[in-house]
Amino acid sequence: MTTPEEDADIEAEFDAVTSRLGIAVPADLKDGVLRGYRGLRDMGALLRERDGEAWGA
Amino acid sequence: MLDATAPTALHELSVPQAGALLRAGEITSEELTRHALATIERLDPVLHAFVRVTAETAVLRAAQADRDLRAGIDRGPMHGIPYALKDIIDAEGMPTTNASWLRVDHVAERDSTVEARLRAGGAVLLGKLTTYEFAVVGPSFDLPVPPARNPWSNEHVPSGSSSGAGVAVAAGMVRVAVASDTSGSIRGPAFHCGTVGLKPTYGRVSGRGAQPLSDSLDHFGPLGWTVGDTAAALQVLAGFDPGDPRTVDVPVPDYAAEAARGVAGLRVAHSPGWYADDPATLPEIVTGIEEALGVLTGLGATVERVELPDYDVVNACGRVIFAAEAFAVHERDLRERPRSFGRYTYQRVLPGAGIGASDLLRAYDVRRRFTRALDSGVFDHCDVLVTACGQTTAARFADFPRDWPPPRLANDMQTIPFSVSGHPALSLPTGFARNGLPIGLQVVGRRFDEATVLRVAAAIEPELGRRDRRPPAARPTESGRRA
Repeated sequence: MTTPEEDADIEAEFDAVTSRLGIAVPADLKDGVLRGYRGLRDMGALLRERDGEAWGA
Repeated sequence: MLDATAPTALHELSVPQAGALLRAGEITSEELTRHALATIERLDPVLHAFVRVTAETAVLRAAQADRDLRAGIDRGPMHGIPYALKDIIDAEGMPTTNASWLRVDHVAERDSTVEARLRAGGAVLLGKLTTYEFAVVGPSFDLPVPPARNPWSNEHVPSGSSSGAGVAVAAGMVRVAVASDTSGSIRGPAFHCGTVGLKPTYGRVSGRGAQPLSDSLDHFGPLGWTVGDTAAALQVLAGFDPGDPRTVDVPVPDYAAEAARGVAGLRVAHSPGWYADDPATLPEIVTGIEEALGVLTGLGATVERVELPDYDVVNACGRVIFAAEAFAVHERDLRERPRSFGRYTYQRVLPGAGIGASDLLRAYDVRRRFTRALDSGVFDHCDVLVTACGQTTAARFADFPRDWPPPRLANDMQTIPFSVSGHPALSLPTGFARNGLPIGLQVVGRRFDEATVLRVAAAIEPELGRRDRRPPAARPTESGRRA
């Protein structure tokens, strides 16, 4: 779970990306978009955390 | 199993059985086609598998297939067999809508490679099958077409994105459908509708003329009611295509012959660590896999337990690649026509805008390492891996909230790892859960060794596949029976 402050930071981060790309996100769609973005951020963090790990199967 | 002395509904003839009867002159392609069209007319108003039925041209193609056979021209294992295409795949002169308001007016100017192969193979196109919008996500009620309904229970989703394909095959409208699988879009509907679904090796089947979703994860292949149907379709679909640089020039074996070889001497890997201890996995699914391994052992295969890399990392790798590549495909429309997307599609695709290059490159690195781990740690000494496909039965429409994403249990599949690695993976039914909905497993093989995957699936199918049981709505009427 993220805090309200972290949520605000994540939203600002995503707003900066979409603004740079010239994409205006309709307000009624934004909650789901941000939930999806948070999920992808978590997955990116997991990949960074496990970067270079040796794998055998 | 068919009884040779009993009347048989035409849709219960497997592709090889129908092919033999066509060649013997005991049935015609036109009979098969008219029976399929009547079945679609009867069932599809409720199930919504088709977005377009091309009855007139289907009958013309069937008549041509019959004339060819009478003239001694045999175009192969799909000659005279009706099939349908997921509506992200082009067929010349027909709309390819992608179930999207953004493509409702798009008419294909030429055949996709898979359609060209099927047409040249004498098969009979019945129409286009519904899909989640752009093969991304669903179910959605804000698209030009309604979502397909699971024939085993109309309150449940058939899964997706090849939802129409799973429904049409399970309900007996067609024996074969051709679809795409980026993170599980063939195997998911096959699992939840109780059909066979094969995601071939990346590069085995051409994607030219199909809507891209995630270029490095997109696969194309068949769903069939049986392993034999699926093998017949793959025989026609597989092969190098100069028009698709992803395809690889690897020999295409005789899949039907390979599938019939039995499993004696094969080595089967099994890795329950991915699913058996996860409380999200239904016990019946674990039992089905154990029973399948018992069947294989009884037929002379040996089973060996292996450890696979951490599922969560492989899943994250696939999700990051999918999101970044799907965003790249749809960026312009997301900017210029956001309201033309379905709500779920927009909410699933736009977040990919936020993936940085370093995370994407890290995901590509994980893909390389996972693929190597499979090749050098599993398939160096085992012929196939038998594992879970889905972890639960089909979700209810009511489980899906207004905004994406839904709760975890609404879409638990373990298909994306083999989209990431590109290995062939087949979803095979293993019967039904206590709630009456289909369950199954996944058979994974070495790259370009679909033959062994089909061989293993063909050995399990007679024992666990329950190919004698159709959804209630699909049980035959008196019409369409042959004495």
